[in-house]
Amino acid sequence: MQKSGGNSLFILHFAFCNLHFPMNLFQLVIKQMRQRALGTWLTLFSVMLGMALAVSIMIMRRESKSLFAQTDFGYDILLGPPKGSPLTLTLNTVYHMYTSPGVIPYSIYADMVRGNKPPLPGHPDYHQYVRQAIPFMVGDSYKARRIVGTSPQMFGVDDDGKPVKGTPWHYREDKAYELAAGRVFAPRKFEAVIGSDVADKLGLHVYDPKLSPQENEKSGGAFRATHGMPGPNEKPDIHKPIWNIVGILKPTHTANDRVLFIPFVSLYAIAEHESGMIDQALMKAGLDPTKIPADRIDDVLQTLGIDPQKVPQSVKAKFRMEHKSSAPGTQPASGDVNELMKDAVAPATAPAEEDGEDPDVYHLDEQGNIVPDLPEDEWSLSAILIQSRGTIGQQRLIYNFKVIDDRATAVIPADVMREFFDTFLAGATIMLLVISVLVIVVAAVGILVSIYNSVTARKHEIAILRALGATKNRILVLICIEAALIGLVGGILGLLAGHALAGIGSIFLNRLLGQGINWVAVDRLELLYLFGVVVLATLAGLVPALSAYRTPVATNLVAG
Amino acid sequence: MAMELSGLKKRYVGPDGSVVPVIDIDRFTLASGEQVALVGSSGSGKTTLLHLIAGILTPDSGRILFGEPAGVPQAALAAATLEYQSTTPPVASDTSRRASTIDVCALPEAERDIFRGKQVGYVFQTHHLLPGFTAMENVLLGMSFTGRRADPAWAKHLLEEVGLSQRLDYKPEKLSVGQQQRVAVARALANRPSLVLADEPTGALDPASAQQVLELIRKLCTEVKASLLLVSHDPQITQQLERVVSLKDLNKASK
Repeated sequence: MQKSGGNSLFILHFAFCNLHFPMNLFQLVIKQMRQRALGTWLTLFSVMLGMALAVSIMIMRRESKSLFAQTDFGYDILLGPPKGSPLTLTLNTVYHMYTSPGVIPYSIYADMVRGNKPPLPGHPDYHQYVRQAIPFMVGDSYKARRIVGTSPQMFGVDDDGKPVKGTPWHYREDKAYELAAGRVFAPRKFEAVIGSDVADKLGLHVYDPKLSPQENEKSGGAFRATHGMPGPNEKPDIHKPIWNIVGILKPTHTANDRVLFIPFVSLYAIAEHESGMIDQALMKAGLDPTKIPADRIDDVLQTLGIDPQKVPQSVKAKFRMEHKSSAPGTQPASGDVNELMKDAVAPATAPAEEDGEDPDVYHLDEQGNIVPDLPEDEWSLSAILIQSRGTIGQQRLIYNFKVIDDRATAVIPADVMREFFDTFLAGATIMLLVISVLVIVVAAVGILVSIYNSVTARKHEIAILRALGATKNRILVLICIEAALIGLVGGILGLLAGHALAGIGSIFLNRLLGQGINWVAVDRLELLYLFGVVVLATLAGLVPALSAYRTPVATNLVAG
Repeated sequence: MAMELSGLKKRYVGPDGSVVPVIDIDRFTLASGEQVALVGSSGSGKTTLLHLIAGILTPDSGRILFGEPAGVPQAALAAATLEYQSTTPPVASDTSRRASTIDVCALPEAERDIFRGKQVGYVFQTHHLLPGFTAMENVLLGMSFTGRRADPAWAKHLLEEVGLSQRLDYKPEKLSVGQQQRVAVARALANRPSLVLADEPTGALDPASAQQVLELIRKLCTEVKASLLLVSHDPQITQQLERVVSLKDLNKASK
């Protein structure tokens, strides 16, 4: 151990001494530290641990503040479902965490993007409050990466693919999305623009028009969406349509790097999405749609509060198909709807749909654009990202969705995150910081004990140095230098280790949020802390140094 | 350089509060370059005397003067006897009589330490080398506290002189006891001191090694023109020196 410790101290040795004599105090200290390499390393290690813990907490505290409590998301208002917590809505939209708390009518978005056009009769005029609005629809995934349905305007182009007039949409102050490859998707095509991390980690690339969709899917130029975000043991329900990747975004260092963006309209072209509201109603009532006879669908839908006239035939067809796929002869032909529904209570586990079983619930127009069967007034969105026209616009929108319009709720994500940080993270990190200070104090006591022991063991050596002409002050300085060196080197190693720990934390955060932290930057607080550690270590060394100061030379020379 | 003790007294206070006189010397001188053996029984105060001379201990009273007596020819000083008496004891401030004398006892502790580092070479009974340091480093360590520029060439020369030119990078644990003591001798001479104090330097060695070490000490002291005060029990050793002083005769406290 001594040998390896000695070798490890070589760098130190090199840093503080020239290798030629005369022997200075540093060389003397290093020599003596090398001689007691195990003790030196253990003390260094304890200082390093304390420092690393403190620094990593400081970095996490600082960076989590900038990560969670940032006020700049590129939008100042988030419009989400009326129920559900603002925090869930914000975390879901900004960091793509958790599942969406619900949906809001598409018509709100449609009203917001009318621009200068007068509002529809009976519809509110959002123009004076809303500068830009971006739709946000979630619910599907691809290989555990979230798929977000949105509009091309998010990436600074209009529906025709031309740059938008005025300021493009920002994901951070003065930072608009940029493409690393390809182009932005068309608003009504099965096309996708993917985040840099998705492209990187999943090996996806811009599709090859010469290849078929299936071939592109195989090579990573296209993908099919999976319903929801299935767990590792769940059978994925993969949708039928294939989205061609037409563009790859440059890294934004936000959670959006881990997202696949598709036109929100294309999400309504998925059968399950179209019937989503019906599914939801059936699920709430605990009904198994396959046990409902085809001729009684309308009755059941009506009982559930759904207007059967508004349900497209494609969705109804799905019911019939599902019904056919079960054992038809076993179905009760009850005349009473309630009785029928009682019998149709869903089993614990519904049979998984087979791949490709869904019928198409859309058609393509002559330009090849998607036209969903679901009428536009049935469309829904998970959220709308809004850039308001200043504080007044912001307050009016908040007021509007708080008092007047109960179809949605408006939150200020920056406020939500600030509150979240102050409530949870700030308190927790302060506690951790206190712990880390305690760890440092323990490490300082460790230095004190270690150096005190070494001084006690070295009383004879100190007596020899005194006999060779070393003054008491020299010995005092010698021991204090040793303690300070342990504090400094342990502190620097701890600083590095703390940053490395934060780096690991950043990887985890990146996995969780798609957004890492700046774990490299060293701020003044850390340097101040390092200084404090060195001072504390030196003070810890002062106690044994004073003991050495008083060492009687003659007695200890004889004792040796 | 000569050394002169006068009215030197040192007492120890025992654990029971009793006062035990250890050193009580009226006068003792050592001429420049003189090599003197100091003999005495165990507990007669030999080591205490050396510690007092080196400034490791301070006397209760008396003076320890280092320096050239003004107007006294070097040769005359060298020929001075043990019983050399001076009617007026020299003091450090007495510049008219002794321009360059220093009373070690009157120096503040830090200055005494530095003076010891520069002017006194000490060879202990056991080598007292620092274990983590090589032979060369141990010798250089002896030069580290003088405030003067260290002289690696001189250190190397000393180690060559003591026959360790092939062992410069050896740490003490790799050297024999005799070799360790030879390194200690080299270290004592590292600063070209004016006085070498050797406290039973051959006590732990076999006769052959003891003889070697003695010869080395004497040779090197001559080379640097240092006075030598060597404590030993061994008549084989002491009889080789120019003068043998019995502490029993010198020290009233040991009578």
